[in-house]
Amino acid sequence: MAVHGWFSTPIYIHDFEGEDYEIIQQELIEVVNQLDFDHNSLFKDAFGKSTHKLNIEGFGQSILHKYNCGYFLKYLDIHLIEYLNQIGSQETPYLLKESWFTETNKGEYAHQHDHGAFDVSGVYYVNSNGEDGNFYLKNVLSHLSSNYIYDKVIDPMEIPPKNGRLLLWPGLIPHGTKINQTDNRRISLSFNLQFLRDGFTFKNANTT
Amino acid sequence: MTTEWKPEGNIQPLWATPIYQNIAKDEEFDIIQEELLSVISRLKFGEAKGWGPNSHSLSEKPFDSNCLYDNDCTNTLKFMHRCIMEYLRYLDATPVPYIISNAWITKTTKGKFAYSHSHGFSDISGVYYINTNGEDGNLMLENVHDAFAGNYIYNAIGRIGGRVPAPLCNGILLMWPSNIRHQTQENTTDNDRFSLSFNINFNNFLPGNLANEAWDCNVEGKDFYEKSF
Repeated sequence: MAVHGWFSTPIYIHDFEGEDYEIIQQELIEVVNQLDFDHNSLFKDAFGKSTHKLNIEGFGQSILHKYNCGYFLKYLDIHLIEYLNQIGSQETPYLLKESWFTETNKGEYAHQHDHGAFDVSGVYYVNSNGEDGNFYLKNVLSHLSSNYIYDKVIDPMEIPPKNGRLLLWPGLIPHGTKINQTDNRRISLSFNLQFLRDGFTFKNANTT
Repeated sequence: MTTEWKPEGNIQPLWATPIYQNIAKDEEFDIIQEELLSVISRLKFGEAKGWGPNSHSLSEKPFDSNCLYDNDCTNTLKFMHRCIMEYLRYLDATPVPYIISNAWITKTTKGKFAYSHSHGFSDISGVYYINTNGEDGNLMLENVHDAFAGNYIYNAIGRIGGRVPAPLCNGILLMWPSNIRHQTQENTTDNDRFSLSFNINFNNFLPGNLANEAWDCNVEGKDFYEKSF
């Protein structure tokens, strides 16, 4: 007898350690120290005061490019290639279109949301005590739960935060974070990227 | 069943669809084969209207009858029962009464195949191979993520596993959630493939606080249904 798992969703996890970790942390913490954070107005109106803060530049731009975070972008490129390789895909140019820092203080959380049209979304934890709000991904098959079998396998996936942890996932998956119930000011970096579509060229694409 | 995060390795395969596979062996295989081949010898087969000229043939009244209950296929039912319980155990699901709501025999001759379809409203669908040469058309389950193909990652994994051929061998029993679309490849051989297909429904309200609200079993085969628990 065997039960085989078919049609899984591949998400990518990597914990940076050693010199790589030190280099990335130094680069990103320098940026964070220059930033101001607030409750994005659209964000707050829609989701209430318990939602987390963003660097004031918000969405629609890349804080990584604005502050020339070359080390992180280089490491991200390496792991994006690894992600594609491990799912059997070919290397494809991509554009990291958005990146921003998130500040999550005690009592705050990220409401469930998705990044729709982006191919890959990701997060990197800059400052976490490991207990300041797990990240979760909603099961994309939850709408099939009227079937008895699917009803048994629709749990969400929770992943604890950890300094140096990189997560990559298909951007359409609904996700969020649990409430930060500690006094730690959790800082994480979020980003969205898109792969080149047939018929287009990117002027400033990364090339994997 | 909980999807657990595994900290080793980069790729975490989340939310896989559990597909059950087993194979009857030795004496059990022999008595099931004898039982089902005897049933086949008594059945008439015909093509369903409107399914197209290349569609396989079915036993009479395929979706309004149960050839296992009708022909007292006790050995086949026992094997299936054991497999169903194993499937539920894997899922950490509490065993609940079920009914094989319909069961029929499919005959697939050279040039024939099953068009893409699903058995939507049932809980489990399955197939047992009675007579195959292993090359007369695999079952293909369609990727439940097809609608996500606009995403690069889902599209990438769809290319390498979008339609997965299931194993094909006499004695193999496969079960899957009924809402998964599936089809069979064309039989390009001279072998007449015979397989048993079936649908299963669970009584979701047992056991538990809603026991008094349980469904009544209203199809033939109730005796087996009640003996199962």
